[in-house]
Amino acid sequence: MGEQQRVEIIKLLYRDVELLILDEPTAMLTQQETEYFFEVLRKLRADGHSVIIITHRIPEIMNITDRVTVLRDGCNVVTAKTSEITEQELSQYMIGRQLHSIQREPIVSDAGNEGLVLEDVSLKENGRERLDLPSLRIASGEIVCVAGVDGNGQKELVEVILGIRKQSSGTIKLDGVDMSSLSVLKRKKLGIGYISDDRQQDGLVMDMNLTDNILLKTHTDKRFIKRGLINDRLVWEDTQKAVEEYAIKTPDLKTPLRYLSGGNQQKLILAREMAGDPKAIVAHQPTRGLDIGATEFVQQQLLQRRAKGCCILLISADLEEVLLLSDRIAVIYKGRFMGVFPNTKDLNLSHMGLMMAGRTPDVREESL
Amino acid sequence: MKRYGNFLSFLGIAVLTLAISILLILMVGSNVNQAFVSFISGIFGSVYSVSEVLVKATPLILTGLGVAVGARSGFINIGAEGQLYMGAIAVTCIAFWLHDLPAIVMIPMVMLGGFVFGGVWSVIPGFLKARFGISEVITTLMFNYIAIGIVGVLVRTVLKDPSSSLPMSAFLPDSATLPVLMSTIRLHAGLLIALIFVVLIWLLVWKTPFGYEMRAVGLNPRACKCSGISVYKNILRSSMISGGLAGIAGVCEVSGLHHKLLEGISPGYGYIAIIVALLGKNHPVGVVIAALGIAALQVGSLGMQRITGVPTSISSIILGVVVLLILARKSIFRRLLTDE
Amino acid sequence: MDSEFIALITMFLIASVRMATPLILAGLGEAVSEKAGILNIGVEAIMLSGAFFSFIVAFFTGNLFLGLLAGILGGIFVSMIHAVLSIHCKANQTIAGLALNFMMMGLTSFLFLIVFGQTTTLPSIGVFSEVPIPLLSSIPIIGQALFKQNVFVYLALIGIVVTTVFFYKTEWGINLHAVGEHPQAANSAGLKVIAIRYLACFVNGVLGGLGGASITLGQLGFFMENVTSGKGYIALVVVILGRRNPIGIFAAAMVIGFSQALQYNLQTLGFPIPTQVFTMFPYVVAVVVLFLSMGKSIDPTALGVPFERNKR
Repeated sequence: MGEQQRVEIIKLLYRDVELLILDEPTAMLTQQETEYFFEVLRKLRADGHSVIIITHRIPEIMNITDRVTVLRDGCNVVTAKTSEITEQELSQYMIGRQLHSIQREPIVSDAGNEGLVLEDVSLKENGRERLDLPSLRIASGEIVCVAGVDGNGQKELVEVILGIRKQSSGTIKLDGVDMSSLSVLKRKKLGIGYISDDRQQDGLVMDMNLTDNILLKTHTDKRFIKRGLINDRLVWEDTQKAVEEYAIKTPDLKTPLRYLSGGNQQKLILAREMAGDPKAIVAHQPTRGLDIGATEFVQQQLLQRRAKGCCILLISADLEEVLLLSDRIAVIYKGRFMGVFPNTKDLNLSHMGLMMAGRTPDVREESL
Repeated sequence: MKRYGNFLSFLGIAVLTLAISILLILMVGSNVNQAFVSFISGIFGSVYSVSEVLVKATPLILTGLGVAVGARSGFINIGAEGQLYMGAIAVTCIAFWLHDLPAIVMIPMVMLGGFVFGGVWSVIPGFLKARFGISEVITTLMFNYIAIGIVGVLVRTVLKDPSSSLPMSAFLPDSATLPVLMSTIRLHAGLLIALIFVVLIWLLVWKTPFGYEMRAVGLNPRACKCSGISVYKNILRSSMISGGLAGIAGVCEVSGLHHKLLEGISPGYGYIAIIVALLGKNHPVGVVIAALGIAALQVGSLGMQRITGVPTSISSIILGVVVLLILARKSIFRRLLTDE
Repeated sequence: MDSEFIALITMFLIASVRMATPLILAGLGEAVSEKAGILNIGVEAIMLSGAFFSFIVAFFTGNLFLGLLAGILGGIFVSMIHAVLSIHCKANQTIAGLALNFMMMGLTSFLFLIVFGQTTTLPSIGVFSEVPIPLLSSIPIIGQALFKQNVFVYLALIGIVVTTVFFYKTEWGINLHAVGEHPQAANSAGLKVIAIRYLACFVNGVLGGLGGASITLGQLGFFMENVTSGKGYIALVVVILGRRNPIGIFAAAMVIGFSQALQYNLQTLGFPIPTQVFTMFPYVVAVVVLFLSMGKSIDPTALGVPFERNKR
């Protein structure tokens, strides 16, 4: 995807446009690529071109823009010169209230569970190597984050864990149970919650209503079925509970998901996937495309699960989110881990950025 | 505005259709008033005419139900016509082969046979779609012609009635025929069978986990894959049921109406079934209503032709126009349907 | 070789080419349309419309070329209805095609009855006569079949050459392909997806209308209810069999034309094989070919999918 994005951009530049409108142009780029890209934009500005850049990343706004307009709910909240506004002010305008920082509690002690274990998992498709990973264990109460540029095997990794794709070799265990040859449904019943990066395509049936979308995971649950038929009342009660618990804003339970906001759609997925206290959660870009309020809600939920002893695999392209949530960080590039680090204060961000771009930094030289 | 917009847009379609029908009647030079009176009396004029509507509606309900079940899982079944013919072949073969069976065993046997024959005829395109992504639209269409061809060959060869010079089979044994509901009319127990299947299919599609899977597969196969619902299995199952129902329609036509196998037992029921499913919004109850409506349109236009000389082909024009208008509804009535 | 045998082969070839001509014309049109992502199973309606209007105009003006023109317009009329429904209204293309088949089946027989009334003898006209092409028509065996025919056969042959060049040698052909395979990418590359699709449907109307006209003005000289008798559906099969490749379409149409010619001849000779065996033949062949080509996806990716600019 990163490659595609770059080609798209180059094509636009090539056409020698007067006005360039960029919608989240850096979503697929690494730190280094973003910097390089911004250099290009600055050159364009110097040449007299106008650029409109749409982004939700505050550092980028401060870095590149001359003027900034904040839109919220379709309204122009504020327009100001970037030099006359601070990051805090900006984020307040964006969410409309004070952003309270997420409190991190110390890791829950390992309760003797083995957690989610990947052993030498690899995946080959059409003769191409998609994944080749060393063993990785996610303990209960731990959030391991896989950081990397989109399209470096993240999707393959989560789909192999869920059983949507079949790994070529290696085993996947949850609390000592080998799931390698189980179906998706069985794995989910064993206790995996899955939040896909593409909720509209992978996670929801947009033309079905809330209750039917809850059923997507639970339609074979014995508690919902009486004499071979689905008991609508029980499903309805379950959905109602989820709506209240997760504060999903919807006119009623009969509304097709299509008419809900992205945040509320994601909340329904959370409600469904976190029901029944899963042992593990695989969250792929769970906050992509959400507003700050919803993002914060999702992040809080993940931290709450962590506190309850859930093993969480988080995949994110948003470095800020990675640093905020994870206990350990694995950098992925072309289907391989470039390194796994604990998330501590002395984490070298520029090293991570280089690894995401496929370069192995010479650590020794730096530390000398 | 939006609340009434939907209703108004359908009213608009009704008015447009009526206007076109009047135009067509005027083109023939007939009296519009008289034409409509003869149309209505052609439907409700007598017990016989009403029963004829029901006779025509029976195969339309079954095939329409079949197409609707397929459509729910995303299987566009254009092949109900051929599946109906396969059902007709099944009932004839089974009835002659097991001619000694009593009716109580025979009728379920031929129903099952029709279901299996029709189902197999549909599951092959279903398999090609599910496994290889080959469009079912063209394959089911081709299977129609093959099925019709097989019937043509059979009634001239192995199933031919030796005592007749016409290409048709001998009469089925009595044990394989469905009872007539009233002595003076053609209406047979097939209608009841169709209605039983309406209830069964409604339960299956809307109330069972399997029906849920089918509907989900039709709406978003990718999400189903990610949730562990097999797209492949569900397309196979729903195409099997879809064709099976059309096969039952064939059984009912042969067992209930013709009592023998002959060419042209279906004047395109399988194609009209697609329109039935569309108008009935792929819902069992909607299918019944749509099937009754289309059957009434056809029977009524026969009455109209008898009395005012307006060709019956008007019913086929109206059917086509209604569907085209419904397809274009959201564009034609955009102002009615949006909030602004 | 036996001269009688050669005469027989020649005769069969001539008949096959005649039978294949409507299928080639309509098949080429449908191939263009399908390449652009529009699946129109209303080919039958296009052909019926072409057959009807070409006959009516030719009958009342006495001019076959005006008839031919009217046939083209009749085809365009139907294909453009389908185009508006599938492109502008984003409707289900299959159902739209099917509804058009119903409508045109009704409309042509309705109008025919209005114009001519219930008649025992069908009103008829002369057909386009054969125009032998000097030199080429004297090639043994294939000369008469290909070059001593009426204008429709020549149009079909020209159509094959032109579409082959168009598909595989011009940028337009690549654009058409792009629009059918990946409309979103085509759009962001600056192609006018909607305009190209409309144009493809237009071509389908022209060729399908010609195909219909070739039945009434090239073969029969009269019109009757359902005169196309499923040729539109066979044209769809021809497109599948020929894999949307003009040469393939020609070959597929010839196979079917040959089996039809054989069918008529065996019928007159009194062979005890039911003719239904031959009517089934093209479809059985098509199914067998589909099974043999299993695993290779041959349909354009966006076939039957409406284009929405803002959808990814």
